[in-house]
Amino acid sequence: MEGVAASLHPPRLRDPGRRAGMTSIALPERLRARVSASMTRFLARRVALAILTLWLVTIAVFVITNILPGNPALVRLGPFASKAALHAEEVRMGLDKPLPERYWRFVSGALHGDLGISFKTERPVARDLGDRLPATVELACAATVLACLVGIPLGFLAAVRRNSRLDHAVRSIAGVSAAMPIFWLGLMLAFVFAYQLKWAPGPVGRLGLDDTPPPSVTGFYTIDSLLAGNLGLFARSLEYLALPAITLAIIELAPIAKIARSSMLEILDTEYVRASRAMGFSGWQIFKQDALRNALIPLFTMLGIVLGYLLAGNVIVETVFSWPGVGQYAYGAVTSNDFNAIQGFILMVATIYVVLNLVIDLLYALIDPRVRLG
Amino acid sequence: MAIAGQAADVFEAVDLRTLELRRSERIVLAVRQNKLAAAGLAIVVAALVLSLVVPLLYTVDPLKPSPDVSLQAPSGAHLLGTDTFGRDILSRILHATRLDFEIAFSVAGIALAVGTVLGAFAGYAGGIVDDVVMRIVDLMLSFPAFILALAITVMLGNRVLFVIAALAFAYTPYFVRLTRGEVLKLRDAEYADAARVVGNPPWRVAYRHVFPNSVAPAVVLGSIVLGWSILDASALGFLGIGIKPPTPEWGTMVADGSSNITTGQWWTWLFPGLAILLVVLSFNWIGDGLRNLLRSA
Repeated sequence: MEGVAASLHPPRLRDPGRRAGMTSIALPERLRARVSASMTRFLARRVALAILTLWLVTIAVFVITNILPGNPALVRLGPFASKAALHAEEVRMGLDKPLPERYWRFVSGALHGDLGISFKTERPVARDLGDRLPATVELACAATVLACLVGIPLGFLAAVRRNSRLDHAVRSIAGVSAAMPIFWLGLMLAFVFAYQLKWAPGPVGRLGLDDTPPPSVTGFYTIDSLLAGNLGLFARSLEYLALPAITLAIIELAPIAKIARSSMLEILDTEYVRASRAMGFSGWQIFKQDALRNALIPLFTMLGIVLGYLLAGNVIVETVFSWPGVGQYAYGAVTSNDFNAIQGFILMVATIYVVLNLVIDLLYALIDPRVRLG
Repeated sequence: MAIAGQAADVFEAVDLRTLELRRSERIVLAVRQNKLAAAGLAIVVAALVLSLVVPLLYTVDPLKPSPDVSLQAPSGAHLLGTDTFGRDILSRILHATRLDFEIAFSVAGIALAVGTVLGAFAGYAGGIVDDVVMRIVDLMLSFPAFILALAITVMLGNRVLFVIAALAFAYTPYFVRLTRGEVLKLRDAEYADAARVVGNPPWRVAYRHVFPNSVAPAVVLGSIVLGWSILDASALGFLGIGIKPPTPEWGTMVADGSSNITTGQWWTWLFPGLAILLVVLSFNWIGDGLRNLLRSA
């Protein structure tokens, strides 16, 4: 049937993608004004909500670290501390002050970028986190790019060839990766590729002991070494990045491939795809014109969630691979009861997560008018 | 770990059709049709039985160190080998099953119970109650569940009980959101209207008609949360949080064995990790099976 229709050379009416409201259509003047007004309203509402959430987050962090039965001074000194020492520590940490005053000091400090002093490193927590953030972001970006490059095409292919052997394989892989303990996966990759096959360096961090890090511009060793024109160093930083990035990417692959598959399936079942089929467009043309861009939208939302969760996965992967990012810092803080550092880390993770979701929502509204008008 | 899978699964769990779960023949039929779910159920039941029966038969002490058999490869004497302290890996894995299952079922049970009740309440009451509950839920969902659980456990102290409390707390909002949506949908269902029209008081419509039917999707989510909480509890254990050292737990066993990767012993960390993978996979399969069951109804 498709073949017959195709032989009739149907007139190419319009880019079918347009019908889904994807491309910029020349809007009448009045309508354009309405769109921008709705966008402004959406923006204002969404930003206000994000600020409210962030404020609630500070309360939540404060509750977790100050009001829960645990006593930070006790956590800091351990169970065998004397009463006097405990009291002195409480005074030193400002725990003898009333709660509202402590909350106020915490919030006003955080607003000024002051997250207190780390007991362990004896440096400001904000500076510790700032120094280590590029390593984490570099790892998270590498993993996400890798997972998308593999996961999205796989998910789309699985949807197009539904119930084929490939589809089953993709779903099995996604299923296993969703059940995989990430610390175990990291150990396995390190064991096989670093210690048995010796294809990659051991889990010792971003570079070997005898490598000097490139001069810091972006904080990403891969980019900075390229900027410095040092190709050897670039190759080595990639080698060190490979295993932790692959570990995270395998875990990320599951939701990305899953959403890619299900959103593509949904699109392929829509009326406009069926209309295109009836007009005789080939499978590839339909994929290119109708399906691809529309199927990417749900993935976009997914990506925000995945990136946020990466911050959690990082604590483990960075610990396994001695990657000197914020996750490893949090692990160190947790094991040494470094109270301010724990508090700063949680606040940072929650803030990044809220801001990330805000940005994604705004971009989403920009792409899909139904969001802001709805 | 449960970092990213969560979101995808929640998205899928959201639009489930409802059905009375009590019809046991239907469940049996669907499980038979769904081989993976059946396999998952078989594995979980087998693990449960083994963890209860084996301590009576396989009496190797999981805690007693025997330095003379340190780091033995798998053999007839020690089927899965021994760890650095000469403790039998198989015995430790089997004893750990009990602890990990206790954590998983407690977490999923508490989160399911509290979450569905709160969600049903918020959805049915509407108005300010709904607004307040949902704001709190949004707030809790603005922390990755693992980070939230980690922070709470650290502050409360290193005890299994606190791991359970923290994870249950972190997973409750997922159930609240899911059940609320379901109740909102069913509150206006035709059969609920019909029940009102014939003169049932509001509480009876809610109690008899809306709530029972809105629980099913939460049960699916519950079986998936079983897997997530094992992943998260073992990840906490791996980081040395919550479970104290000699106690066998899968995540802490992997952590204990992790230093052996440099010296080539693979059995100390491979087998406990495999146990986690297998059990979590089983719970996910069961969840998928339940989901299919709901969808087909």
